Amino acid sequence: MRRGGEHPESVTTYIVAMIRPGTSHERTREASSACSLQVQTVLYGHSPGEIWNFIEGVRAAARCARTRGVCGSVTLALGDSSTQRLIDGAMEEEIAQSLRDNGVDRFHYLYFGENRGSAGGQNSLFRIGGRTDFVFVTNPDAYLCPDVFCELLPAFREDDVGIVEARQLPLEHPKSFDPASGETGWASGACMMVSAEVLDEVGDFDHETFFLYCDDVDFSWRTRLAGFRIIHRPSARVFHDKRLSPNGTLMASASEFYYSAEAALLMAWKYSRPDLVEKWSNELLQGGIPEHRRAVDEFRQRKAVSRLPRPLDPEGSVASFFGYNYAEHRFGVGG
Amino acid sequence: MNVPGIVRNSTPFLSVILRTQEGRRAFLMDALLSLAAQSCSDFEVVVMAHDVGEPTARVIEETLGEFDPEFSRRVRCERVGGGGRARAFNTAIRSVRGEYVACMDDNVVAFGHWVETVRKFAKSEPGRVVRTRVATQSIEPMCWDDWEGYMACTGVSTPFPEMFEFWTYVFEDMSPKCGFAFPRDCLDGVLTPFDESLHRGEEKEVVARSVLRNGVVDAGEVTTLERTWHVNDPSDIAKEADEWNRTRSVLVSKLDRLEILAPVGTVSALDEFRRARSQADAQLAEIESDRIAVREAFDRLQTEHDAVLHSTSWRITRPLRVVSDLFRRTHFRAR
Repeated sequence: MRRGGEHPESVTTYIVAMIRPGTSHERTREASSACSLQVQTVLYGHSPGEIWNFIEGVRAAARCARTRGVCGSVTLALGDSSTQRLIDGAMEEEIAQSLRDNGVDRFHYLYFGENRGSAGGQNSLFRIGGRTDFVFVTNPDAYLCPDVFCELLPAFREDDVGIVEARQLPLEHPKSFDPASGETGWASGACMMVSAEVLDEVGDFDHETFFLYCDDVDFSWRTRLAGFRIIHRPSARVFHDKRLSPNGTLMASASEFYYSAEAALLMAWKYSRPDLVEKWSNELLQGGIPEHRRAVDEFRQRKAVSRLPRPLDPEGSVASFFGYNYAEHRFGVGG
Repeated sequence: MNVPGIVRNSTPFLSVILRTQEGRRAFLMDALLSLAAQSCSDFEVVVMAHDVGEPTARVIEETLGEFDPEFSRRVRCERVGGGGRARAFNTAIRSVRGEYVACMDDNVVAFGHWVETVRKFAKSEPGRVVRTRVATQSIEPMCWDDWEGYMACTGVSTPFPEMFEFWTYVFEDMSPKCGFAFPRDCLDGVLTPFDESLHRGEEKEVVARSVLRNGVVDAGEVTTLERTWHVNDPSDIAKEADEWNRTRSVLVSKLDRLEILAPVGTVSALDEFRRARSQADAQLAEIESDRIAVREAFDRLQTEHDAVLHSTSWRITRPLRVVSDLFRRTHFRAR
């Protein structure tokens, strides 16, 4: 079955298998054949080869979860923030067909007709086909390990667990976590499984404040303020296609310089640290990187027109700043 | 499906030989996931299960079966028993079909563009050995529920030379085997390309021979990451150094028996080495001459000193020196 709209926001939905009735509004904490899961990501200028690579990972993970009985239905939602539709009708049909025999029940493709950034794009996909028990938020340059959902879902057995994060490969994230419980300060938006309760209680990503970076840190901290825990599961893997420069450092584009600096200032503001806003603004201005200067200007402009978010967590109960990091790191990125 | 980046060939461009053992499930999954996520699919994988029992072999087969068919149809598993690490690679080399062959242990994960990079350089300079850069990271053991897992404990570093230099490779460079892709003809007809008597660097001879025979092209990009246990124990460090020394002696002795056509750049390298050696000899001679002069001066002073001590005047004036010492001590105490 197919229904669809037209530009600027066109949604195509494929129901590729029957969904078990009556599961969508029931609370299903435990991984079981009754729980429903949505996998979602936002495309931006990706090639067909890259999109297919992503699809391959999703369908293997969905099939594995269904076969092992940890999940009853899987939905895939692709948002598209590109300037032109990346997936045409024929490719949509082909994707839907390929998902059909691999444990994915529904497929939604939503072309936004504008760049909504990471937070705005992901928000547009939440509940696109109705409420699911869990949502797996990921990046389009991720390749899911077949057993990733089987490893993530059991962690929700404990009632206060709100988000479970997978381990990233080839570059493991350096933020610290408790080796015994897996508890960690925040979860990466490249590989986080969120429960429906969290989405109900905490809401969506703050897309009005964050465009590209720190939307996940902010969402994690709000989740913790609401009383949920965040768990890192190293046995759950996602390959995130990051690459290194010849000297072993992460490669960053000009827009990454800009948005990460802007997000840092916004995080400090939103989590009641005006002292850090002041300190970082000065450091960014003195650093001599044009994108950083631009980020400070943008922040000041937002402040002047009162477009900054309401500060949270004045006691600093969840927010933790370690230099420019949002958790203590086990090691430096460069060695 | 006809997608850019997905190449269908009866003879794959690359054969990847991946060696694993008992108790390495966590490592094997990481390595396989990184191969499944490659941007170029023009390769096959042979998993060499080395000295594993029936249950582990079954688990490996099941694991492979959980990946998407686009990947799993290009992977097969073979069991091999006995011998050192080299045995597994030597056995697999006889049956692989690729134009190029690359070997890796299961502690290696590939970056997303590994195969794409090797292919690009092999096509631009056909027949040459392709060398890519390897990054390293230390890990420590960690329990993942019922898995024997690990976590990274240092950042990523790139300790191996940026460019391949033959003599440096022979004598010092410990670049791991995953940094080389061999053209098939370098391995054809060689009974045991990898040295089965060595515990480390078992590939060094075949790398050296292949480079001498076909030449080498440096891709310059970091395309694989080797994870190694964090070693602190001095005896482990000493053992590792001993093993490398043995590899070096074996390699030198084997290469010494060959009449070799020296690689490009050898004459100037030898000239530079000769010049550096002469310079070092001259400096050494200068230091030796200074040392002799200092020694002679010291001996002279020693003789004069002895002569004074044994002189009649020194012995006669002894009481005066005693009185003078007493006076000085009393004077200082009074002050």
